[in-house]
Amino acid sequence: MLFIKNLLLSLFLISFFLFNSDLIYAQGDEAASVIVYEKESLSKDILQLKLQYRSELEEYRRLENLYIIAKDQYHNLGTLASLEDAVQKTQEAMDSRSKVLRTYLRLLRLKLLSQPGIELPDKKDAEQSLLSALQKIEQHQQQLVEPLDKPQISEISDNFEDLAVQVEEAAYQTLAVMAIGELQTIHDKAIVLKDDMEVEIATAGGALKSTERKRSFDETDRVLNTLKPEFDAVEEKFSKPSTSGYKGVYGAIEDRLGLIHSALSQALTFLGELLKI
Amino acid sequence: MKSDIMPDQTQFMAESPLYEEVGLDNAPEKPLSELEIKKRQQKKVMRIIIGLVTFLLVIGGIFAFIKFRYGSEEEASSEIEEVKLDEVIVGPFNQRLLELENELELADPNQEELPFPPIDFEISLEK
Repeated sequence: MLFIKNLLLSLFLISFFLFNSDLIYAQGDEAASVIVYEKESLSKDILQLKLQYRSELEEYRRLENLYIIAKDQYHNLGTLASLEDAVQKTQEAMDSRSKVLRTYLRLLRLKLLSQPGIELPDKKDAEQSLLSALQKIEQHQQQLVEPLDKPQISEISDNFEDLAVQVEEAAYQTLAVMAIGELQTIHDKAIVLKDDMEVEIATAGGALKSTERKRSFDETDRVLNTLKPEFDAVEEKFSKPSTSGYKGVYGAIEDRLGLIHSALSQALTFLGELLKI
Repeated sequence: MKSDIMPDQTQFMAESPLYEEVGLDNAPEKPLSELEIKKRQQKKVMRIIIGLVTFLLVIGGIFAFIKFRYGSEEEASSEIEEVKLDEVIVGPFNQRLLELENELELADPNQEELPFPPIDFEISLEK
């Protein structure tokens, strides 16, 4: 009897402690990892200009519609009243167009200046083109301050054709240099990341994993290396714009940039997979 | 005639053991037989053995518990250490990779952030 009593007591005590210890471990198992997503940081000026640009573009669309209606009415009716209305609406639409272009070019300039990874000479050239176009736009806008008559409107409209080409060239030069710079920066960062990963985790996890990782690193290397000639080709096109100018260059390199983007996306996917091996 | 009441207390005290009832416990023990002595000894040995076994079981239980508890703690701590090591190595790379993926998403040439404004370059009064 004494033996059974002692046995039951000791068993009870042991099971009590073991059960308690399980509870303690269960409570202690709290692992939470927080991934912080860092969004693109836009400067206050860029944000303000973006809002201004949007509202000016909306206003331009409204005035452009009014201009089209007034112009149609003038051509249909041919009255002095319809001419006066058409001249007024044309002038307003032109002024609004200048505002849109001026804000757009200023926005592009700020974006260009805030973007890292662009060669300094390319950045300076693009900025100079933007500033020159901005100056011309402001001069054009000055002509629209005073009330104009039909011949003056026609003269300003003719002069604007040359200005439009210059504005487009400046804009596409900047868009191209920014698009190349963005992808080039990501490419460079991806190479650095891959190299760092290779140093840190290539040998971790035993021989079997090391071999698997080695193959994966080689494949990622191959993808990243195929992009170098692509970038060279894009930069060559950009440095030697044909007769179609930077607008033509931008159109020509857009497809190639798309391929580079896809390859970079694949390389980053590989790096993500490598981290899980 | 002798009365039951004894007025002389001194005499009573002296004779009182004579009046005590003789119980089994106080009865003089009979000499034990060899078989009985053996049985008693066996009982004693059994009690000692049972006590020892119980004691050993309790001690064993305590040792087992301590081993289990510290063992699992060590195991858990080594697992946590492994996880921490993984996090230390892989965590920053994941962060950098995530940043690069975000940048790549924004740099998609098919989704321009600032396309050239859709405006009419030929605004005029001419047809």
